[in-house]
Amino acid sequence: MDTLRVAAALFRKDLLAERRTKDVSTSILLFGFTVAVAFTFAFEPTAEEARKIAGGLLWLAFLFSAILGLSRAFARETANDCLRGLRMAPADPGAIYLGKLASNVLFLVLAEVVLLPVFGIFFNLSLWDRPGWLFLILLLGTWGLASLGTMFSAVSANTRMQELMLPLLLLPLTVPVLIAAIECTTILLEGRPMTDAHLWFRLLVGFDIIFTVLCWLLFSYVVEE
Amino acid sequence: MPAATSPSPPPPRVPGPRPDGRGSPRIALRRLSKYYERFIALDRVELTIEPGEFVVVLGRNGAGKTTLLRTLALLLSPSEGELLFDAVPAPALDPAFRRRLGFIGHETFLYDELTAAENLSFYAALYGLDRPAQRIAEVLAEMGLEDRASSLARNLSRGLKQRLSLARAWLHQPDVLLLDEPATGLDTPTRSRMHRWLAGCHRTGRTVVVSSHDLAESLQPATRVLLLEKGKLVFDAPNAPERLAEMRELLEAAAR
Amino acid sequence: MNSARDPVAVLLAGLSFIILVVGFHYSFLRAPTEASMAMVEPVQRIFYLHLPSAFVSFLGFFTVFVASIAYLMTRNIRWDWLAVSAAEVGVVFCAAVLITGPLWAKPVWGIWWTWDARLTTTLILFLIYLGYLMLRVYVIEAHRRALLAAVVGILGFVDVPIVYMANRWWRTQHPQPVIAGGESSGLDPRMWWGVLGVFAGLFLLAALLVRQRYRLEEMRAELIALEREARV
Repeated sequence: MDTLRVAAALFRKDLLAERRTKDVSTSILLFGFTVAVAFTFAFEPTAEEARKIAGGLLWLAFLFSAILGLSRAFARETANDCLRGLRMAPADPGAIYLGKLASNVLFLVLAEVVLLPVFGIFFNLSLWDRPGWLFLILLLGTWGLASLGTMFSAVSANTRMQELMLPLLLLPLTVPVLIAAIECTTILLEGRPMTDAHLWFRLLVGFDIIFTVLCWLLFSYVVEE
Repeated sequence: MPAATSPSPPPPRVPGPRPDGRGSPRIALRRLSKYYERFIALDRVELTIEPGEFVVVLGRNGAGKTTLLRTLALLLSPSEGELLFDAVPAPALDPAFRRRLGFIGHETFLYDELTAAENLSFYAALYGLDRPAQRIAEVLAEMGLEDRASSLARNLSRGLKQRLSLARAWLHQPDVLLLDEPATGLDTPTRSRMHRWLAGCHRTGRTVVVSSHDLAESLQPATRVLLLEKGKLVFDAPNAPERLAEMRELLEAAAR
Repeated sequence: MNSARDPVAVLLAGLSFIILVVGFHYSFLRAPTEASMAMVEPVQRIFYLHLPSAFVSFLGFFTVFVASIAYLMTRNIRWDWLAVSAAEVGVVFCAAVLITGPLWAKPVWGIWWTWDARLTTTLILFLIYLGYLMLRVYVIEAHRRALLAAVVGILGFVDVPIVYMANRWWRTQHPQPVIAGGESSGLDPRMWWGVLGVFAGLFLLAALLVRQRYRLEEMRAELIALEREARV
């Protein structure tokens, strides 16, 4: 199937390019680390307070780093007009979206996994009690951020004020993902049963599916000239 | 460019939609216009390109050559009017049709951080070529890039980048080659080698459309010459000396 | 292109004025007092501006949604004109909701803002509107702008109910004071008359503003087309 082939080719290409230049990963990691450090100056929580607010701090850091990473990732395609080369491929342009989404989710999640211990150390959190659940929350939440983020990085690349438009569009629309991811993370950190979070998981999965499908369908309009 | 003046006979083509059994599609533009707010890039262009023609599009900078070529490559959609391939309007074309088009623009469409071979590998995957490694080796040889296959694209000189770009456009053996000012920035020997290669390509029955702002450039292989001025098609004639004289007069008149 | 006299606009203006006068009169003088709010009597009436504004603002965004889909399907630029007009009018009413909310909350609850689901969703809606309008400012060409805006309009609208749900669920876990009497509390039927009356008036006012904004966009497009021809 053409779409799958093009998306897979794009994903593999991104992996190769990232292994070589590490552009996207370094920007996410460095920025995330800087934000974590900034938070330690802003907040000095007790152990119990830390468990309450860590979810929020974590996802804020992930969100801000994601914004940086997403624009870097898309900048790869605007250099040398490569996006036009992609548009000449014999497939629906939505395939481009799917390919970029897959590589964005991968790079973001990998960076988040590296940032987690940093937060754990700074705020004295025990993050590894239920690693499976933690990873699932990371995956679903990041997928939600990236689904709209990949779309809006393409949208803002067409405007005069790219750096402003991506966060301006992304922040309000990803509020549900943030709320859900923060709630899930907080429930996990406070040691409560994960069944408490079942509503939030449903919200995350629903959001991810709805917006991935919508963005896939609408992407051709965004790259049309 | 290879030492030979023409490419070896093309290997069997990639299967693609060929409704009328002939190689290249007939391309028609009907009152096609492209606006950018107050600026008219193309102004009611009427044009039919028959399969197998070699068309040179001349015009000053800003005359609309790039817009025309990008529109033919299905990268731009017209503001008004129609573009038809074998009488099928462009919006109704299957995405698979793009397999029959090859385009070189001002930018290379290449990833700086990948090698020449990796770039071609990527495009081979985009076009779903079978036996990609073999095809890539063929194309690298045809363009004289075999010993630069492992060089990063960003480390190639302008001339080599153009050859790689041409390799990229030729990789899937399109029926229609669209080249936007391909000779810019190339030295004279490379330029003539490219022209000879294009002539050879044309001899296989493909449609070739090349643009240039250099009005003195050699028009030899071309069967047809077009002149764009401020988005309008002001001259359209077969490539014959008396018609060219007509065109030069037109240009001088416009310059006054 | 017709002259400055626009019978529909005059009709809309007149009707909305009359209905608003009647509606406000009723709301402020005749409608019964909400029992729990008796102590802050006159201020409580701002509710009759707050709620109808919210309806109008939401209707505006719904219009943006429909117009965006219509543009993508028909590629007729007039749908984009409608979308931008509805968005600009909607954002103003949205701002009205966000201003009247705290004006009410302070005397009643002693705080300027509460994070109840409806007010929070309205704030997010306001930000989405804002993003939509800012995007339009920064895209130069008309059809590109229409395409990008339509995509954002659709995604934004689909998101709003999800934002509301997320906030509601969050609120059940972290209870907050609520403006406008909570989702489940009903309104005295006589109060509904006030709300509906003001809503009808505001709706007509909004329709008038959208119409004028649409005509402005139409004239701008015409002007650009003329300038284009002139340069040829």
